[in-house]
Amino acid sequence: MGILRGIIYGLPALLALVLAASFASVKLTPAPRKNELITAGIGEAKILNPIQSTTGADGEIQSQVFGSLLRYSENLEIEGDHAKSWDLAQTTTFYFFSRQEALAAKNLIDADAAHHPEWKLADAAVEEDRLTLRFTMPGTKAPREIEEIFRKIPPPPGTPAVSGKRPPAALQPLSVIRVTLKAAARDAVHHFLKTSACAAQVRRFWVDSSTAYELSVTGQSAEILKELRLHHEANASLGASAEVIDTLSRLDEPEITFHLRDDIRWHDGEPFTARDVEFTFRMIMDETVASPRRPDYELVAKIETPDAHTVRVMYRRPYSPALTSWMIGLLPAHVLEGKASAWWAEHFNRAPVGTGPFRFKEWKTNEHIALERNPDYFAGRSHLDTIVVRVIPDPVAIRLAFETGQVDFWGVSQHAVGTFEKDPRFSIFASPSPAYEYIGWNLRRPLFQDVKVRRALAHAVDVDSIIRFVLYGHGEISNGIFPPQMWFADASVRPYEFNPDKAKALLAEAGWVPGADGVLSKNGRRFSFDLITNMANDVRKDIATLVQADLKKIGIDVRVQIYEWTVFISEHINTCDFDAAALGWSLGYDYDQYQIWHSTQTAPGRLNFVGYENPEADRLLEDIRTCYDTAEIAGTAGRLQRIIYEDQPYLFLYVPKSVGAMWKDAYRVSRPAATGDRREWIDEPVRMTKAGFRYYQDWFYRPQYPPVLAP
Amino acid sequence: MTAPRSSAVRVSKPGDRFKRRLFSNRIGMGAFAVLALLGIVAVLFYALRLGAVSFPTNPDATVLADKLLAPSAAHWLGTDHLGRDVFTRMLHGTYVSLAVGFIAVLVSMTIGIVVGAIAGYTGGWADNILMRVVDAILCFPTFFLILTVVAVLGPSLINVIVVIGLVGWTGTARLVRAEFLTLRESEYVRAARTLGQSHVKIIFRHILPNAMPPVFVAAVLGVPDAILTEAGLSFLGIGVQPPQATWGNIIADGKTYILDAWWLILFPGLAILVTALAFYLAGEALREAGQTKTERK
Amino acid sequence: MIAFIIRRLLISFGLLFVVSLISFFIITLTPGSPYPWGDLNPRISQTTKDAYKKKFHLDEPLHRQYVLIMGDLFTGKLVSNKDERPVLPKIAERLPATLLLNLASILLVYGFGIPLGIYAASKLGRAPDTAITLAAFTFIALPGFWLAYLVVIGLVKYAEVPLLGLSTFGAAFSGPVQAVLDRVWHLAVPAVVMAVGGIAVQSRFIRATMAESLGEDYIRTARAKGLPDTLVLYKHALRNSVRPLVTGIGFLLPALLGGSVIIESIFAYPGMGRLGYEAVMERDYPILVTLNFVVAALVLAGNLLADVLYAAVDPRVRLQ
Repeated sequence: MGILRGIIYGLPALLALVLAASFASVKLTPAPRKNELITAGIGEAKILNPIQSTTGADGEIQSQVFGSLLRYSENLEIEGDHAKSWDLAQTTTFYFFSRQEALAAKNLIDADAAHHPEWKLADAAVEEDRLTLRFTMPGTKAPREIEEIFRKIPPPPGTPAVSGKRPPAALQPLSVIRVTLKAAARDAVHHFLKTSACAAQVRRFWVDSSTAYELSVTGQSAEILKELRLHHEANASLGASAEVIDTLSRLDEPEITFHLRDDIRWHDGEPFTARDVEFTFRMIMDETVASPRRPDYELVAKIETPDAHTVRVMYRRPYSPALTSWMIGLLPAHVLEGKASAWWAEHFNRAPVGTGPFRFKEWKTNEHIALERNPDYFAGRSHLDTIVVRVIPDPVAIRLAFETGQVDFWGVSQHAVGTFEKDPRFSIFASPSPAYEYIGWNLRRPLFQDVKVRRALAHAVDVDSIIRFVLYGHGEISNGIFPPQMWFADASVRPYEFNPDKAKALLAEAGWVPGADGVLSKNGRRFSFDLITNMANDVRKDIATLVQADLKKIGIDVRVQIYEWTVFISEHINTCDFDAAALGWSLGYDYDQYQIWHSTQTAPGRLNFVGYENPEADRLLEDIRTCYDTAEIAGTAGRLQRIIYEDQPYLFLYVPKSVGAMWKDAYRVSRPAATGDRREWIDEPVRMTKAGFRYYQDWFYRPQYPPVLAP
Repeated sequence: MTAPRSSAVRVSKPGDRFKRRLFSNRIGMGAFAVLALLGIVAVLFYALRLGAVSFPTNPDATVLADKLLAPSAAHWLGTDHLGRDVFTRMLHGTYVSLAVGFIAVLVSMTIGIVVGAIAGYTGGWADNILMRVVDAILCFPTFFLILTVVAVLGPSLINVIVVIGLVGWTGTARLVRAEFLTLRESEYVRAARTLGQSHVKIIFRHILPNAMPPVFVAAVLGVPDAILTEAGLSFLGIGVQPPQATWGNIIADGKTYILDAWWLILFPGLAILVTALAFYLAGEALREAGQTKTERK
Repeated sequence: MIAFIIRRLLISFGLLFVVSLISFFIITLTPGSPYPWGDLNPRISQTTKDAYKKKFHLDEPLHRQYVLIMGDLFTGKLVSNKDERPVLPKIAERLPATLLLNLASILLVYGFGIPLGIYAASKLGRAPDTAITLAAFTFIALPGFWLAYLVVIGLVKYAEVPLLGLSTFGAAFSGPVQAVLDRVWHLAVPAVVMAVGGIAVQSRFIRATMAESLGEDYIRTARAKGLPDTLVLYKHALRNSVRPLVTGIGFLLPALLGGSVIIESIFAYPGMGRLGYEAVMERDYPILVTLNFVVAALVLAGNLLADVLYAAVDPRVRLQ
C-alpha cells in the first residue's frame, strides 16, 4: 500500500518537478542567438521546385536556393543574374506570290530604311518567295508600317482568286490551322508532312501538346484542309479534326539571346551551363510535369544552345512579358534528367539542388525548413550561416515569436501598426503591395448591366472610411486595374468621390426610385442582391459589412454571404454564379491583364468571371502584349486603366500597404557594389527599396557576427 | 444499481426528498440562479430581435470612429474592431449561444432516445444493427464530419446547430439503451406485458419515464458541450457567421486583436466559462439529488 | 473468449469497410478540387488538368476511385494529391511528436487526476472536496483555445519565456542538459493545456467511483471494525475504481494518435491534428482517406481491447 501511495503521489510530484526545472532552465539561462536568420509564415512550403510550385511559401525558399537568368533590381528593373547580358531581336517574314515581288519589296525597303532609323532594321534578305527582315527591337509597330508599304505592290497577273476575290496585293496571307487529335501529335505532324502533297505550303509547324499541333500555311487553306481530312480519314485511329484558327499577313518572330556567366556551379559542384536552361524549359513544357508555369512559355517556338554559355529562345509571336518569364528558378539537368516524376517528388522537391546563395539543409515537416550558406556562390558567400523558415500557423503566435526575438521579421497586422511605429525596439518598413481589393459586379445580372448603376455604387461606398478604419490608414484608394506604384500606372485617373447624393441621382436617372419599404425599385424589382466573400479573411468580412451598411443608406438591400474558400471559388466564382463578390488581386509587377479583362476570357473557370466585354479594351489588351517599348507600354496601359475604370466592372476599393517590422539594428547589409564583382563592397543599414526591405536579405549580417569579406 | 429505483419510487415519496436535497445544495442553487438570469437575458434579447420590445442600442451598429476602445463608462466592456459595443453584442449573443446549446441537445437527445429505446426494447438483431451504427459513427472524426457538412450546406446558424446535434447523439443512445435493457426485465414491466398492454404504451408509460432522470442529467451536461463546440468552430472560422453575434464568434473575430484589445476575448470567454460551469454544476446538483445510494451515509 | 474475439474482429472488419466507404464518399463529394494549384488558376491548361486527373484516377467513376484508392492504400502506393509524396511516410513523420505530446498529456491526466480524485473522495462533502469539485468543473468548462491563448500570452509576453514549436529557435545551447530541458518545456506546456480538462474529468471519475464504494456496506463494516481510514481508502474503496480505469486503456488507443488542431496551431506544434486539418482544407483525398481509415481502425481496436480488458479484470463478466 505504501508503494501504491508512493506512486500515486510521487508521480505528480515528479512531473511538477520536471516542469519547474524546465521552466527555470528556459527562463533563467536564455541561450544566445546563432548566426541565423529566422522568418516565419502561417503556411508551409509544399514543393521546392520552381517549375511546379504554386505557393508563396515555396517562393520564399526557392528565391534563396535557385538562381535564374534574370531578376528584378531593387528598383524593379529587369537585370541579369545568371545571364551576363541578353540581346533582343526579331525576324519578320513576308510571303509573296513569287520571288520577283519579294525582290521588289526588298528594293522598296532598302530605300526607305535609311529614313526610318526607329524601325531598327538590321538586315533584309530574299529567299525564294519570301522576304526576311531582321530587327534589333521586337514588336509589331515597324513590321506593320513596312507591311503598309508592301501592300502597294500589285499582285502578279493571273493570281488565283481567294474565295472569289483577287488578292489586293502581292503579299500572301498565312492561315493557322489547328489540329486536335487523341494522342501522339508529334508523330502525327511529321507523318503528315512526309506524305502531304502540299507540304511546301506549310511554312511553320508547332506541337502544342500531345493532343494538338498547329500549321502555318500560305496559299489556299481549303486545299490543305481537304488533304488533312483525307489523311485523317485514312488514319481513323487518330480521331483528329482540323480548323483554321487565325489568319496572319506576316510572321513576326522575336528572339532573345542570353549570354550566361561561366563562373557558376551547382550546389553539388557541377558547372552550370546552357544545357540546364534548355532542360528547365523542356520540363516546363513536359505534360507529365504539370507545371503551372507552362502558359508563360507557350509562345516559344524553339530554344537553341549554340554553345555552353549561350541560350537563344525563339518566339512564335511578339509577347513582351515573355522576358520576365526567365526569372524562373533553373533546374539542374545533371540531377533530374531521365528521372520519373515520382522520383522528383520524393528526392528533389523536398531536397533541391540549385545555384542560389543558400543551399538546402533540412526540412522538418510543419516545423521549419533550413538553408545553409553556399560557400561557392558566384557573387560571393553570404554572411549568415543559416536561414530558417518556420511554420507558425497562428498569426498571433507569429507576432509573439517576433516580439520575443525568436523570429526576425513580422508582417505587421494593420491594427497594430500604430503601436509598432511608436515602439523604439522595432524598425518599420511600409510600402504599397502590388495588389488591390475590389467588389466585382456580375455583369451578366440585369441589376448591374447599367454603367450608371455601377458608377452610382462607386459613389455610394465610403472607401476612405474603409481604409481609415479597416486598414487603419495603411492603404491607398484604388484608381483602377494597376496599383499606383507600377511604372506603367496612370496616376491621373481620379477615383470617384464618396457622394451618396450623387449616387442617388445617378440611380434615379437609371430609373431606380425608393419603394414602399425604403428600398429602391424599378419596374417592380427591388434593388437587392447577395454580396459574397470568403471565410478566413477578416478584412473582407469587415468590408462586406461596411459596404452593406453604406448601400443600405441609399436604399439598396445587400445580403452578405460568407463561404469557405474552395466553396466560394468552385461553386460561385468559377461557375459565375454570384451577384457581387468581394475579392482581391495580387498582381506581381506585370502589365499584361489579358486574362482578367479580355472578352474571350469570360467562360466559367476563367479570370474574367464578372463577364466584362469592351472591344476598345480588348484591342488595348492585345496591343500591350506586343509592345516592347516602355513609353508605349505606359501609354497603352494608361488608356486601358481609364477605360476600365470608367466602365466600373469592379468597385475598385484600395491598394493595401504591406508593413514589415524588424528588430532595430538586428541586421545590416554588406553587399558587392556590382553583381559578380567582389572587389567593392557596400555596407549599409537595412532600408526600404521598391522591391521591399528584404530585397538584400542574402547579404544581411548580424552585427554580433561581423562579415568576413573573402576575396 | 437501477433495480431498486422502481420500488423506491413508490415507497418514500422521492419527489420531496429530491427537492429537499436539491434546495439544500447551495452551489447547485447558485448555478440555477445564474442560468435563470441567462435565460431572462436570452428571452429579453430574443424579443428585442423580433421587434417585440425596443431598445436603444443595436448590436450590429458600426461606429468606426469608436473602434477598439477599452472598457469605459460608455462602453462597459469596450468596443470591437468595427466599433460595435461588446457588451451589447454579448447580450444579443446570449440567446444565440444558448439556442445553439439547447437545440443541438434537443436534436441529439431526440435521436438518441429513439435509437436507444428501439435498440434496448426490442433487443436482438435490431439492437445489434443500431449499436453497430453507433460504433460506425464513433469511428468518424467528429471534426471532419462537422467541417464537411458546414462546407456543403454553408455555415448558417441552423446548419451549425443541426450538425452539432447530429454528431452528439450516440452517447444518449447508449445510455437509453442500457436503461431500457434493465427496465425491460423489471417486474412491473413484465406485469404490464402480461396484462396485454401495447408496446407503445409500455415504452412511453412505463419505461421511458423511469429512464429519463439520467438522460435529463446528460442533456443538461450536453448543453455546455454544444456551446463549447460552437465556440471552437467559430475559432476556426466555420461557426455561426457574422453579423449574427455568438460568444464564440465575438472571440473568433477578436482573436486577431488579442494582444492589443484583451477585452474582445476575455469577456466573451468568461461568459462561456461561467455559463458552461453553471450548467455543469446544475447538472451535478440534479444528479446528486436524484442519487439513491451514495448519500446513504 | 477466442470465439468472441474472432466474431468481434469480423464485425469490426465489416464496420471498417462501411466506414471507409462512407467517409470516402463524404470526402470526395465535398465541394472543391484536389488540384495542387488551387481552384482559381486558369494558367493550367486542360491537357495538364486531364493528365493530373488520370494520374490520380479522378476521371474514373467514384466506385472505381474507391477501389483504386483502397488498393493503393494497402499496397503502400498511395501518394498525396498535393506533393505526390507517399502517404504513409507523410503520416509517419508526424508520429513521434504526436505520440510524445499525447503520452505526456495522458501521463498528466492520470498523474494528477487520480490523486486529486482520491483526495476529494477522502474529504467527501467537506470544503476540500467542494473546492476540487468547483475547480474541476471550471477546467472542464474552459474553452480550450481560450485557455491556450491565455497561457501563451501570459508566458511569452509577460513571463518572456519562449514556448512555440518543438524547441527554442536559433538558440545556441550550452550543453545537452539545457537542450533537453528546453525540449521538455516546449512539450510540457501544450501537454498541460491539453491535459487540464482530462485531469478534471479523471478526478471527478475517481471521486465518483470511490464515493459509491464508500457508501457500500462492506466499507462501513470495515470502518466499524476499526480499520484505519487510509487502509479503507486505498485498499477497499480504490479497488472499485481500478476496473473502469483499466478498461479505459482501450479507449486511449485512438487518443494516442489524435491531435487538436487548435492547440497545435497556437503552439506551432507539428502534430497529427494539423495534418488532418490541412488535408481537409486542401482536399488532399489520399491523406484524408488514410487518416480516416487509421482512426476508425484504432477506435474499433480500442473498443475490442476495452471489452477484453473488462473481462480480464472482472471475473463476473463473460464474453460471448
